[in-house]
Amino acid sequence: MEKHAAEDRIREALGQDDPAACELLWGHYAGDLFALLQTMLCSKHDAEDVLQTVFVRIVRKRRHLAKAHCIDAYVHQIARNEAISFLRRRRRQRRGSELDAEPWLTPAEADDRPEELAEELQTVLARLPQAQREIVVLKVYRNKTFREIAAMLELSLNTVASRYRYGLEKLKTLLKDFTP
Amino acid sequence: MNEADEKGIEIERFLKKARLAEPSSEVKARVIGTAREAWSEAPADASWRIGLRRLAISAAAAVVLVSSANYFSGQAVARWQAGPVVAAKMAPANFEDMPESPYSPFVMHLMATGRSPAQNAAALLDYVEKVRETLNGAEQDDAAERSGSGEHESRLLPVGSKIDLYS
Repeated sequence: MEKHAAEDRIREALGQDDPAACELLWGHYAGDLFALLQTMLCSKHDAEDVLQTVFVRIVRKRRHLAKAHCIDAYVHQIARNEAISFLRRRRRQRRGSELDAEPWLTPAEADDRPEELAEELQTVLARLPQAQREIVVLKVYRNKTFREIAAMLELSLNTVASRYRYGLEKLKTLLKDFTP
Repeated sequence: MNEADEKGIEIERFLKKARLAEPSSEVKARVIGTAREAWSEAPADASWRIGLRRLAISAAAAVVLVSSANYFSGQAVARWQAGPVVAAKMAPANFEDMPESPYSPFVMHLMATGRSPAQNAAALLDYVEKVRETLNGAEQDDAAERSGSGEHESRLLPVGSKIDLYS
């Protein structure tokens, strides 16, 4: 219900061509979009840059956005498209060089080796196929339900559930050394 | 709950020992500032205005295309110009040399008068008259010759003669 109310407020602001919609969009979507971008790009810096591009793109397409059936899916599609084109550019420019060192996963709780653990999890997640990684991250770190992820990424529930299951199975193998 | 689910939950719990980095307040300020700038730079277009703009662009493109096609086709092919007039010249036929034909006197007459037969009915009448006179004259000469010689034998074969034509 809260989600629908937020979408309605955004739609209303977009309909009135009110720039305050920028803050509403940020408040409602920035976290999820940033998570998706970090997952796709495996870089915090790049995710920040692309997030800015995504918001500019959203603003330019605000009339379409106001009429969109599902704002959630629309903004996520914009973010995915921008991330894909950014990845293509990055592949051409960097040609396989190392990504930036700043971690996109941070330690959640006090641990005996928090930084190391976050870094290892990041490495393991980066080895998952992108489609599975997106779903695992959204489910585990953004606490989204399968239904919400399906709506967000415009996939069927079954696809989301199976990709999540395959992702966890692969993680199980990769995390053998880390899990107690 | 089966073993696979338990393992899944265990992995989820392990993954949750880390969390995703959130966008910082600086990033928020930067992104919203840029978005607002973009908002003021590009006012939202009314849908009818978008259609009108597309129509105008299409029309302009069509005009450019047609005029450039005309221009370049004019360049590729030289402009047509009338050449010097060459009069067709035909030597008059010499009817004297032509083999004899039944119409030769009439044709000679036409050549003499220089008119086409369709336009010269009087010449045709004259010609017919001349032919008639010629034929009458020839008939009279023939009759006089026959009466003078006294021979009245027909040149045709006599009826009932026993000549075998098919032998």
